[in-house]
Amino acid sequence: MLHAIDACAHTNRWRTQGGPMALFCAGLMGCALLAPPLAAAPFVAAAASAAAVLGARVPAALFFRTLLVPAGFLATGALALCVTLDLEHARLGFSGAGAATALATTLRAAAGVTVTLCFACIVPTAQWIALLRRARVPAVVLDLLLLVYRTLFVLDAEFLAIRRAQDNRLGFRTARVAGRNAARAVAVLFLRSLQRAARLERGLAARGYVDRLPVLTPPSTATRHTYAVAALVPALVAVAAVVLGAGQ
Amino acid sequence: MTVPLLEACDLHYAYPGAAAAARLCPGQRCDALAGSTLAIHRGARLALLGNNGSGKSTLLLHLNGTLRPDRGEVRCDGAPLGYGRRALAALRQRVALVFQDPDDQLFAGTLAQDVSFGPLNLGLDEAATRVRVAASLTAIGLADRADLPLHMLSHGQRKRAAIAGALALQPDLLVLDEPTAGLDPAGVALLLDHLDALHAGGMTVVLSTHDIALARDWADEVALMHDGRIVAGGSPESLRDHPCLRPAVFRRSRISEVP
Repeated sequence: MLHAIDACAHTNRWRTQGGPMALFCAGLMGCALLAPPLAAAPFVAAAASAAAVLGARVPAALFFRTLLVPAGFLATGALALCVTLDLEHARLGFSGAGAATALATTLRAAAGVTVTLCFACIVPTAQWIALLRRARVPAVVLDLLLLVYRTLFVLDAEFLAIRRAQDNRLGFRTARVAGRNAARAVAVLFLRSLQRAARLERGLAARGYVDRLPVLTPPSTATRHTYAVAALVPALVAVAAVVLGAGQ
Repeated sequence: MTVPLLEACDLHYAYPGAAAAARLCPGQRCDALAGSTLAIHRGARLALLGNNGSGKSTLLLHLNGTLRPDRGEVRCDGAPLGYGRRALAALRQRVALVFQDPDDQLFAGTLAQDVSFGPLNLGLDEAATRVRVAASLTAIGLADRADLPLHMLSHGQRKRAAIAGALALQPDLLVLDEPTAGLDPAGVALLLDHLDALHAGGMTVVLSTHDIALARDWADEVALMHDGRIVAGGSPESLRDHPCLRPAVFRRSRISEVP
């Protein structure tokens, strides 16, 4: 899923529109967090989904299948909020107030998650790091972000290789053996990550690294027009949410 | 006689902990380099040939100051290397090293960003850097992948990406540690074509390998390495009858029989 989302971010139609998409997603996130959730959340989720699937041409199957994972967590949390413990009769019961809280919280969270996924599927890492650079985030933080991003994929490949090597030698034959070998794989990965870090440090030193990792700003095709549209949509969503929320 | 572009003089080097490991494993060397001497002249196309563990990578790491010898010295244009920050920065602009595993030196979000690292470190502005990045990627046949993240490139492409990163520094000497390792024959042929083009453009190229045929066919000059020392050197023709270069002998690792 990590690879699929990353590949999508680097190949979608709006991959060079990092600035406008950041504005768009920030606006929608603001609506999700601040506007009345019952009215705002459906609009926010719809706008984010439409932008990703119809606008940027993110594959719908990938987008909505990925949303199922956080949806599972949200549903579990919502169920817990709906339940109350009756100490007098020592039993679990349904809580109306809890259900109302669960609905509002779940809607707000679902809208926020949809916006986050929209951003992740559309804006490549290099683009949003460039935006943070423009926002004057300290260079050392950005260097760390770059290294973490690269290392994630290198270690993911390492972990896959370790798991495959174990699997080919029947390392996952039974649940007990599988658990033990999964723990061993994590331990090996920890050691490999340290070795990788040492080798990368040497490699970067050979390329002239001293204390900074300067890189080019990725190309952007953003215009005033795209920024305006990116600001207008969340504004309309906010107005609609406030109007509908006032009527409820 | 011309002064070599780069010269390794009687280099000795032991990795930290090697002596302790040698005590546990009798017969194991503790010196990765045990008196290596090598001269690299301008315009050379040199192959450093040796078995695994012979010290090739360690020697190459000394050539751009990544490792500092315990004994002996490296000279650039006849002057001993300095290991201060400025001296190393100047050296690494002239001597670019490409590691065997490209993931040891690639770090950025996209290919173009990674290649831009060297030029920006040199203090070039963004416009000049973009020109160098484009030229380097074109030279190595990856211009159409400039905006892809590194993990979306194949192993062979990442190897070439690492070379592009080195080329962007416009070095005098390009040093490659086992550049053909892990590549299929087509990948090897493509890589060698690129190296030939760079050499034809005036760049001095040194690579390490344990592939005798590659060393014979590609290099103008071969240096044989064994047990941390250069044991023979010269043109591939002059070494044709050398006992080390008989493939069957090399495969059986009897290079140690060389005096």
